[in-house]
Amino acid sequence: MKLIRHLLIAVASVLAIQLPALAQSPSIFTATYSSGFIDLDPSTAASSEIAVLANVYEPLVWWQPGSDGGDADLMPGLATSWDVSEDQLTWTFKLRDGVVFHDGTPFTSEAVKYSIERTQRLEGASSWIWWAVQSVETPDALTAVFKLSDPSPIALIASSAYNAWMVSPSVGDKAGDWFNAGNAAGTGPFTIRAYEPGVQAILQRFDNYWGDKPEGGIDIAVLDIVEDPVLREQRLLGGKSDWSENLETDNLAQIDENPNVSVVRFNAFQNFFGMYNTAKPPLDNLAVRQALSYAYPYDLLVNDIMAGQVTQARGAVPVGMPGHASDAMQFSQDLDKARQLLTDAGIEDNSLNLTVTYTTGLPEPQKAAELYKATLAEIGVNLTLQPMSWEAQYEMATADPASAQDIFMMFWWPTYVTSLDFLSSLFRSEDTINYNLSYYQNPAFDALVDEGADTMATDAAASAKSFEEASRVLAADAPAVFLYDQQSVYGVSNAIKGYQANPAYTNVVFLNQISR
Amino acid sequence: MRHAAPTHRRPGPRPILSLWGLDRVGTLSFVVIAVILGCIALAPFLTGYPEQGLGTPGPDRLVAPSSEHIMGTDRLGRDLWARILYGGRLSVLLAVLVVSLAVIIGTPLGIIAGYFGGWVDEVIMRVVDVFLAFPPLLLAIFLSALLGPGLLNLVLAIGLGWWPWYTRIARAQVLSYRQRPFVEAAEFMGVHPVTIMRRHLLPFVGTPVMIQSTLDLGSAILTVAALSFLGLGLPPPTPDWGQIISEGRVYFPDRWWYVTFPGLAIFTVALAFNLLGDSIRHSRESEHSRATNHEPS
Repeated sequence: MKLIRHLLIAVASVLAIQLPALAQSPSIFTATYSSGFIDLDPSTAASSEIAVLANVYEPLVWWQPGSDGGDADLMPGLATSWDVSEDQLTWTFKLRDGVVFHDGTPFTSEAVKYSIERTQRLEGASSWIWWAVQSVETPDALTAVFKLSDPSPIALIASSAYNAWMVSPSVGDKAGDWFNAGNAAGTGPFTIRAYEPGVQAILQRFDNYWGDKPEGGIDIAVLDIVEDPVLREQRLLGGKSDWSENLETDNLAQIDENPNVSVVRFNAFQNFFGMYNTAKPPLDNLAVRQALSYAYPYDLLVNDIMAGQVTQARGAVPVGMPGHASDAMQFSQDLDKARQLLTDAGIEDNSLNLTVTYTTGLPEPQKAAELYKATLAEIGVNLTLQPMSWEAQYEMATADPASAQDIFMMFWWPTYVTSLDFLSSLFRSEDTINYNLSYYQNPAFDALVDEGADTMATDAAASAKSFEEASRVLAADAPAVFLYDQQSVYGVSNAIKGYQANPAYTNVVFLNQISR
Repeated sequence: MRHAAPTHRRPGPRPILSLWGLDRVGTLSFVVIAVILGCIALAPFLTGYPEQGLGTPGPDRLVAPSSEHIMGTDRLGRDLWARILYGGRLSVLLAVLVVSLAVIIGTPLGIIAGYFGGWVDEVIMRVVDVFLAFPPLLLAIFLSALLGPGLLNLVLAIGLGWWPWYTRIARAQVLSYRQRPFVEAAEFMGVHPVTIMRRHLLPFVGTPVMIQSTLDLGSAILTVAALSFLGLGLPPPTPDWGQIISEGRVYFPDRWWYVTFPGLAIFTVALAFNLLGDSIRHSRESEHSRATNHEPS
């Protein structure tokens, strides 16, 4: 039934495009994603849905990785240039002329004001990025002025992958439901043609887009959601899909051997770790946390299980990001030390029972957890593995720390390219638990993070120093077992040209850059 | 030499191997099951990697079958033969528990329904109908998602969907003996109903229940594997056939051994229990028909 429905949607959308111009068949691109899009509201979205949003909406500024080891740069998006006042409290953005939203509304400074205010009003998970913005003024149609309470790197923040997209003011008071029904109101090169939650999104080229379409550019993109890794691989190898993420690491070599498909790797700001529950015994005890961190078989995980595709993490900030401390404490497996620490902490052999939760359906966390169980057994700690859906896992972790899991395994990637997001969102003290799922509280660490945040706009070097110091404090305090920093690995059809990943926008295929 | 002429010989060739009147297929199935049970009972002695069977990772990952690892190794370097042996322990244990639970709940209810009849019968059998309205696997998935992980929960999840079959079987048997003179005589003599049910009716229920439970052992193993395959079984790294297949699926066909051997294990055991059950039923039915034919009228 589902298949038939897919076919009907696909056929219907193909026909709809084709009828006006029967002469030429549209160029279709198919991508396969491992998890569903949760929230298509550009002002509140916080997860994998940027795959859709980054093609349908545009920010004022794009973040661009440096080519050939060069420095990263901010590139004009809907703003053509920007400027900051002497006191760092006024940012002026000159806007691109001749841009229209999908509904025909012209893009003006009013739209900028509306988008920022909408994000602040809805208070989504990443709306904190605009914390310093007091007001957005509109002196003329193509100038937007951000008035700040404190210095804040607004141009960098405007390049955020989350909650920085420009939305048409014609949306008015409509809430997330309207967007999640498959409606869109962006300026991007693609519009949403059809959307079925958890199944697929079909995007279609927006004819009045201000930019150019590349030679041989695609007309329609089908983003399929396939949770089963076997199916993802089969679709890619069978030519039913042009792009796929989250492929089984052990199969990458075989996939690359296929003449029609290549495995491509890009630097990423993504890491994988297990949050210790520091809110309840015994993991509130530093010695016990250290013992558990000394027990992990990092070498085996990084070099064997992950086949050297990843590097062992050094603290919470992934390597390559300003604020990553290259001399932060890094644990390596030392079972004698781990046993000693447990004994010193007064923990008897085989008396410690811990639970680890991780998301089902992804092979890597389960392998990582199984390794942990085996090695912890050697130091007399019993670990129970509890695979759960992400929603259930998150709900359990945020309900009550006293009855929550002991270790919470998760991946993290940044909202915008800053170590602030790794340090603050994940480890800064929280009154209501959001993503600080180790419930870590350390005033000294908080002060360092705040110091870094405060100087981000005015003194980048000092800010990075504060973040580095915070990273060092954090790594030594072991509120989590930091496992690895990873690259992005994708399988891409050889028929697709021009594909480049951007680490600031995780797992996005920029549809207007590719062609076939 | 007093019974010179064979009296009750079934038609057809005489079985080469014959245990308790089972036909050839049944006997073979019995031998296969006995061998498998022997293997899993002696698991620690039949593999050089008992700790890997229980979940400890090994050094060589995804290695093809060789003299060292006769069934190859899995994605964490564990010997698959060891995993399958230890997984068999779990599968058989779970299957026995599930079927026992179903028999313990289902049989008494069936006897009570058949003996008392009337509204008691109505109530019990309508509840049975409600349970039978759901496909057993669907009910098991629903219950295990509701109860959460754990060995007992898994047994409950499957067993709670299974008992109605035994209620039906037991009730049908009781109904056919309910009006027999020996039951009525006992009633006239004032024997307590519980005693009648236990001493006069339960023995007749025993045989069909035993046949059904043998058949069900195979299905229970299949169901356990199916739930584990779907991720509703016991948490990893507990060895489990369904889970090994679920993990290994992504490596097929390049690492064919990963799913093939646990698949063969499930196939063999489920088939053997089914054939054995069928064979027992045939032999009992022919005995029964002989018995009724020779009953003096």
